[in-house]
Amino acid sequence: MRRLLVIAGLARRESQRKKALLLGVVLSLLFLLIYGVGLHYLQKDLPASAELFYPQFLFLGLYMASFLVAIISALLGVGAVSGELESGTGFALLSRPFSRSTFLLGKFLGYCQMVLPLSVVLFLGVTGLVSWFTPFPLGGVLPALLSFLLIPLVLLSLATLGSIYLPTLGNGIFILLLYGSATIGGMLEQFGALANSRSLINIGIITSLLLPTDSAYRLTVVYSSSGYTGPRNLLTAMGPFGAVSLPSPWMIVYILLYITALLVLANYSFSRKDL
Amino acid sequence: MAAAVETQSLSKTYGLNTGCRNISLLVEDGEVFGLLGPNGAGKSTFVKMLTGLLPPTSGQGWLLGKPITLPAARQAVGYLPEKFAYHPWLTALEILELHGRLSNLRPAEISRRSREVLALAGLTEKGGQRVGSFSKGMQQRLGLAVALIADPKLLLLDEPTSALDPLGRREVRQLIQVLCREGKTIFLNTHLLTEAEQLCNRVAIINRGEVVSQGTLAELQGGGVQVDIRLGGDIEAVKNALAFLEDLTAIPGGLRVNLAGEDEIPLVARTIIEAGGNIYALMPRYSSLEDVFIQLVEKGGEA
Repeated sequence: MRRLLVIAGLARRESQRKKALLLGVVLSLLFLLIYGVGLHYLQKDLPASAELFYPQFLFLGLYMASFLVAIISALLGVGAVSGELESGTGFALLSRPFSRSTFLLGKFLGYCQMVLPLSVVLFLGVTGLVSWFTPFPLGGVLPALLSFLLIPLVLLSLATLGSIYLPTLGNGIFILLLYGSATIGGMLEQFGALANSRSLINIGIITSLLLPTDSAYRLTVVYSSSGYTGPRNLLTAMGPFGAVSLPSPWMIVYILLYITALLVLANYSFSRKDL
Repeated sequence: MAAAVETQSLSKTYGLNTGCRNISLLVEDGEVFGLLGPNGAGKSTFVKMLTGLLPPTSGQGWLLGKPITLPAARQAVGYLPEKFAYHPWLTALEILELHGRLSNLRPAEISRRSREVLALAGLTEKGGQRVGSFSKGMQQRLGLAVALIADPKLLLLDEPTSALDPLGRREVRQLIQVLCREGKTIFLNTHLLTEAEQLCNRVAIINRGEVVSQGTLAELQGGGVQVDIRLGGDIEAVKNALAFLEDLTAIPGGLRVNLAGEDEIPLVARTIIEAGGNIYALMPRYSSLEDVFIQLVEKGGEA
């Protein structure tokens, strides 16, 4: 356990020294600033019809926050193993008296220690700004936050597994394209639900099973807007950013199993890998 | 007491390619053992199996009595990889702290050992400097310090002087001799034969993934001596008198004989004089490790 924390500390320190964490925090704050200014003027300049835009602004903010978190998670995790092997720094480290699973889980933990607090700040920033500037009634903030945190966890576990098989650059491209596909699939599913197209809905279901980040985002949207009791069409008006097609609550179980399976597979693969 | 390194038929194959085949070695506690071989012979593959970086395809191995498949086998082992590299965004002291903590050293021990090993590696003044600013040679010295941080009983050094200038090489060789006198066992992977001749008690020569010979330097060199004799007088009579020698050839101005040992030289000299020959020069030439190495590797190459 002690060595696992040492490796987690190494991962954290790498992100700090390479300014990745600092840039992530600064750009996240910048995003929240722009978002807050937008909400301020929404309230000020569109008083008569602003209510129509409240849920849209909430969903847009959550969508952009999830996008930022996804990119940061992917970029941090893509070199978890491959980065150490490509640079040669892993050989001396991994010859120390600890198991490879300690190294792998230590790296994963280190990245989580950076991305999860940042995700919490972004989520609470968006929902807090909506609460501050608008009368929109937020719903279950805690379940929404927990759903939101599944996004970086899914991407970090996938990036960690990918870094065992793929070079860092290839893994980065793989993760981002898969994330893009899952997002597009999720949007098509929403259009499918609006247009009553079973084929489009099925595309979304398949991409959600391959990479359930979009399902985690939709769950976040559903929980965060559950306090709203106004006309339903205001929630569905966002189309691809909203949640017309509601994910099954079982999706949370699936996502947790998905993360566990990826980490187990990563451990299994890494323990047998020729370094 | 368990041997420092023991392997039995240790093999590593990559698909159809063989990295190492049936390597059986025994390195006793306290000796400097050299694994010699040309580039690509499988030396680093073998050491990587010992350090847990490459899972063996078959065979068994033990470090200080513990199976190499267990992380605990590496508790008292220091390793300098062939492709050494250390996180460039950390300072030398931070690297040593990292490896010390991963070896379960206490903070006070890490601090004391860091100072000691930096001094041993000649990097005392560089502790606070980021590794990214180090030259290749300085990084290799740091690698030695990292290998020594946990005061290991066994050191596995893979080409430990490859990035050093001649002065640096001499310093590292002297350091290895000091460590040996302190009782550490040193497993040296090298293709520098002079390094092996200067440092090793015993060596094994590996070629195309297989050990082709092992033993003490004297055993490998065979103890034989080649003697070139510049002769005058009745050379034919001398040749007849030396007919009892199995390996006798004529060379310009004399003869060349291969003897089992240098104690046969006086007998040869006496026989020549008694046969009426005049000896102008008698030049013994002992086979070097390089001769043995080239002979074994070339033989393997023809196979």
